[in-house]
Amino acid sequence: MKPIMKFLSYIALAMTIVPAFLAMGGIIDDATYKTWMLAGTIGWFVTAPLWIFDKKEDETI
Amino acid sequence: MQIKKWLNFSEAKNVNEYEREPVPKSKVKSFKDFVGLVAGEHIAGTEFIIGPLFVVHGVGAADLFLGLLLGNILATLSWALICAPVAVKTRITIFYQLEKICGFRLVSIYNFINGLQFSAVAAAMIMVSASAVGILLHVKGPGLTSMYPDSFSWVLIIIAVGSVITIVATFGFEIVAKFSTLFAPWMPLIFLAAGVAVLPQLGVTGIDDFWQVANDKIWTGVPLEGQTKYTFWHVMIFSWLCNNAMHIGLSDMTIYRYAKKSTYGFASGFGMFIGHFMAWVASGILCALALSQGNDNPTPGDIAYLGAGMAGLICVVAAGWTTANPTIYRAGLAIQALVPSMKRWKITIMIGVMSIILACFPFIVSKLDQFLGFYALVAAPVGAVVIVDLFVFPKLGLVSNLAEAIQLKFNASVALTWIISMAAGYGLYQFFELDFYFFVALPGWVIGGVTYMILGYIQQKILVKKIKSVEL
Repeated sequence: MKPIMKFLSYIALAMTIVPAFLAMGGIIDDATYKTWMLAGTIGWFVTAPLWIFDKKEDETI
Repeated sequence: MQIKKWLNFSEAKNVNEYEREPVPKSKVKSFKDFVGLVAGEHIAGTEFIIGPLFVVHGVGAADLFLGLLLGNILATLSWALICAPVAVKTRITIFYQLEKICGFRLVSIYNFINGLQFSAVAAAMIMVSASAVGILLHVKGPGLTSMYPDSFSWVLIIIAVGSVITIVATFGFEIVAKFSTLFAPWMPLIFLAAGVAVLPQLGVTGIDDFWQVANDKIWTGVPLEGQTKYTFWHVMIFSWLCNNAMHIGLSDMTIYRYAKKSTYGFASGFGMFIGHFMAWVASGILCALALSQGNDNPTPGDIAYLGAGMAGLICVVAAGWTTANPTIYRAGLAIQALVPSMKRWKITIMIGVMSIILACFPFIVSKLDQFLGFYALVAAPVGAVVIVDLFVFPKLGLVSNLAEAIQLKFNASVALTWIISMAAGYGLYQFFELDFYFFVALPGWVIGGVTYMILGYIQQKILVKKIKSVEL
């Protein structure tokens, strides 16, 4: 389950950055780019908490 | 299950922070851990203010890129060659190290000043977060060049946002620290995406014409009306010394005492070039677009919404919040040193209220660079004192950690060094009619080191009997 969530998180992160380059290249418009970015943001915050804290649990800094 | 574990307060509170003892070698962290930590730490709410300030103050494109490149390299070297070696040698916090050198009473004054500085930074961050909330509520906040609040509705938003931040800082620092972990990979991407996506609106059609547009429309070299002109030197010195309290001022000993080797200080380069290069460039591009669209005094919320829509607003709220919260918490800890009997949560609420009041006045944001510069002047000599005490005093046959050795509560030579260095720095600032306190932070650091060498020598000769008894 965790590897899947991790994979989905990275997909979500990609959704925040890739559309920006597509918008810069004129492939998608401003509104579409911002919608993808919001979707990526929501995707990240839904999936990342399910795995991101595991390796941080015992950190003291 | 994961979330439940994540919200476990008691587990976090049981962690040993080694506040008054060296970090054991078994607890040192890897280089990769440091890269993750500093990359997240140096991208914060302030980046939405500093990048635009360079645009507002008329920095030229070449000056900006060269200044940021050189300044961030120097900042990285300062961590790697000054802060990390001291941290690895002692493996204790700057506060405990200072107490050993200058005594409890003097370190309390240092803590008080730190507390004030943290409050002002927290105030700036409350305002950054509030600027995004204001857009959602259709309340226009004061812009980057405003000095005073312009509506009662804005003050109410500040009070609401600041109250939430203060309450969370009081009861839930551990949760906030974990939120920062969650935001760290996402936030730089929002900055980068926003900066890249709006380039066509400024006239960029490809990599070839970026430089032309950068010179003509973004970093034009012409300041906004009423603003002073910033040059290469302002950018270079600011990017080098904006965190001077952390590197040459040694407050990051707290972090690098966990480093296996002092070369881990180079990990700071990741934080510098993501947070203080890419993010400043991106927020500068967004500011230039806002200006070109007729918004001559944009807020951080305005520029983020322009570049990234709702995701940008979330980023502004998160960036301000994740910086303000630990800052208010740290301010509480610093002030608590003065009144140890008072509960930390009460002090944190007092600091929070003070930050909220300060946040109502936008000059905290519009003059953030100047304010941080003044703090640089105050903090730099402290790092020089520690370095001289640890590395030079033994070579001169002098005793290190004098306050601890002879039970001094107030080491007069350190106090005098601090006053002389700050006075000399301020004198240089006035004499050369400088417009940036950061320019005198480095001279202040050098003057601090030399003065402490002289005063420490004199002091130890006067106290020779007491010191001899310690040596025996």
